[in-house]
Amino acid sequence: MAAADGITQTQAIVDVRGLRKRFGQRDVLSHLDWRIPGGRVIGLLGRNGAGKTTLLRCMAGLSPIDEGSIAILGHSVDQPGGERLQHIGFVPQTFDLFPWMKVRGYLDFTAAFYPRWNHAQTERLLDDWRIDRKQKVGQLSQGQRQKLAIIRALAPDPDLLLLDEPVASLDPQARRAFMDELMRIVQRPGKTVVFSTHITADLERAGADIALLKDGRIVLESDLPALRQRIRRVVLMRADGWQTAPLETGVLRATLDGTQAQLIVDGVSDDVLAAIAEREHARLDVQPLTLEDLFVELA
Amino acid sequence: MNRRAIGKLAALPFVRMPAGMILVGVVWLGSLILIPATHAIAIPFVGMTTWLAGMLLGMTMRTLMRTDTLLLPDFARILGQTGLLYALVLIILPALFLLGVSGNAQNILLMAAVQLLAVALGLASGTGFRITLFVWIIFPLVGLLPADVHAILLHALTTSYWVPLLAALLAALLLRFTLRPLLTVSDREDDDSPMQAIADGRKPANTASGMPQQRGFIGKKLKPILDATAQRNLERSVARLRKRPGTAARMSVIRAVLLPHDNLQGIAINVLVTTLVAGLYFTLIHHGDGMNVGFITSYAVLIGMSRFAAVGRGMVKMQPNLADLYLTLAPETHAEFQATIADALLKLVAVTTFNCVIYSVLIAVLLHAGAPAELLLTALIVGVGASFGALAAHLVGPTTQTGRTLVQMGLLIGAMLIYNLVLWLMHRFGVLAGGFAGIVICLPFGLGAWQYARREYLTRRPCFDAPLD
Repeated sequence: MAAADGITQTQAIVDVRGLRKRFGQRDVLSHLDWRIPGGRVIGLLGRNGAGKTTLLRCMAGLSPIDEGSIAILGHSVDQPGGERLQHIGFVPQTFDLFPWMKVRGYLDFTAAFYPRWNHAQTERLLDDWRIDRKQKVGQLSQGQRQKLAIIRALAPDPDLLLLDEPVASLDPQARRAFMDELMRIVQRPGKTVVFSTHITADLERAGADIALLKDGRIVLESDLPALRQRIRRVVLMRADGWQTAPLETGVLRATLDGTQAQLIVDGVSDDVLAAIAEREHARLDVQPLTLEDLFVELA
Repeated sequence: MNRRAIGKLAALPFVRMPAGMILVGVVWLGSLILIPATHAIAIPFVGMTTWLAGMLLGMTMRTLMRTDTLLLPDFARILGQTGLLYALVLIILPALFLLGVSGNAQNILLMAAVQLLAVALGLASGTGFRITLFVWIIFPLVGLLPADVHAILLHALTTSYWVPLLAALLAALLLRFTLRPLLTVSDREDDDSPMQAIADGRKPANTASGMPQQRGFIGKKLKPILDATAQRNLERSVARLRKRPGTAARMSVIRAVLLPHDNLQGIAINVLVTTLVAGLYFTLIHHGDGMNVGFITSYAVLIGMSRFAAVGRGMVKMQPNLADLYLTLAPETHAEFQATIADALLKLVAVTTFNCVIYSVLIAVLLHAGAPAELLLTALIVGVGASFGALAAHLVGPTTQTGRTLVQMGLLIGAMLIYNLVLWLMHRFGVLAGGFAGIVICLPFGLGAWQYARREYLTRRPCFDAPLD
């Protein structure tokens, strides 16, 4: 089936407008706008409590919103909308599957409701990830449950995958295997993945685009190379030392330490940096930041 | 002594269940003050409210006692000191009040021992130990005792120092059974359906995560058998759905997931076990004379209706699990999903009514009831009406633990009263007229309540958030 009833890769698979979500008196998400075109892998970053889980649950239609609108695959999530829901794969942060069911029974039950279900992939992943089909879901370890939730979410071959910290409980091998599987899925046309994680190395490996959630909004959207090009660490060195930062505009953070002035700059061109170094009689060293460094600076 | 920690622990029941604790506290205190004026009326009230207070303390303990709490430094000692504080108030204080009325030391000791027993029973009930049903059964059993035994017991109650001692020992035994699993750090074993938990009498309805479960010998033996029947039933339902997809097959699969043990084999096993236990029980106690068969049979309804305690709790506890079901079923609207859940649970009306009738047959046979048709018809009529009413109440009723408990208690008392009313109508006006009157009383009420609740439930948006208590 064509992804989401004729939605093409250039159209928005996710279209969030003016989203507001409150818990009691606290705005968790506020005036949030976010448009995700098809065929992308988006890493949703944000500090603890930024609202990543809430946003993903709202997008899956599992949590009511207070204001604004969310359209997934071209339809509002105000109502589940029938078959459309089966084109969304959702892996929650905590796995509230049916703990009293056995793995086999749970997957058979779920598969019975889906018109398309990748049995071969399911069996392969169960074997690869060593999940005992005869065990009760409630008796699986947290990591195994997470794997099962991933297997279940991938099996219907969804057009949109929403993954809330899917690798948090996985060991390094399983994490790598999951990322490989994810990459395989993304290579299929029209597949879109949004996943929140704190493991930035996975985002780098997946070459994911970055969306940063802060103060209830998406404050930054960028692909990784562009972000690295934009935000850099600049070290200026001179024997006289530094009394004040040599640059103010475009500086996210400045640390003056003896002969070194260390600046994290956003969108400052190489020419400008060279001119400052010349003006201050300092030696210039521009270093790229890892995604983890970027996260620390921005979030 | 860590006064701050003791203060926090002692205040916890008031923080978690302020309305219940204040209400019980006010009635308890009022009854206590009335002891000097009218002790014959006030003392039973003190005992009853002490039992209720114990229950609320037990409910609080159940949510508190989990692995991370038990590992707090000095927790057991602080808990013990808090317990002593409550014992001082609930046990010693009433005894002192009685001292003002009667100087009889035996009476004072008896009062203290009974208060201790009331607290122990309440704690046991509140923590999920299914002792309440046995307590209810004690009253008719006392009525079965020969007059001479009655007289001896009454004499012993008023004169013997052994009675308070025995009561205190019984309370200590009960406290040990109640507190021991609560104070034991054990592996989490949360692999039963929340809707199913209490039905088999194997697990309290309000199991908190990380809590050790009070599972008896029979429960342990039954669990794998019931699980196997649930698995087979699910496999059959899924196969039927694949072969011939349709609304009925779909509903059958959903029911197999939500109510895994409510399949034919599971119900049969439960009935068989109940029959064996009840058979043994009645064989042991059966004297025949003076037994009110109608009253005893109303316990059949009580046992059947106890199933709904799990539904009330399960409806809330299951919310996060339903998210997966929601995505799987992919309904067109929220109301469609809600209707699916509500209609799936309708099976409970049939199961409960069936159980009520079967248990009535069982009791009628065991007690050689004179008019079994009346008993069965009453069980059938009241079973249907009360099940619809109970399902309605739990579907849209309160979501708090206290609220659910009160609703369940109201339902049980109401069902037993209506059972006895319908039975009386049949005795008074005959099976046909009385039965017709019973139908007129029960069914419109039950069906009306169910229809209202279903309509209301459909207007609600499904909630997939984990419950807070």
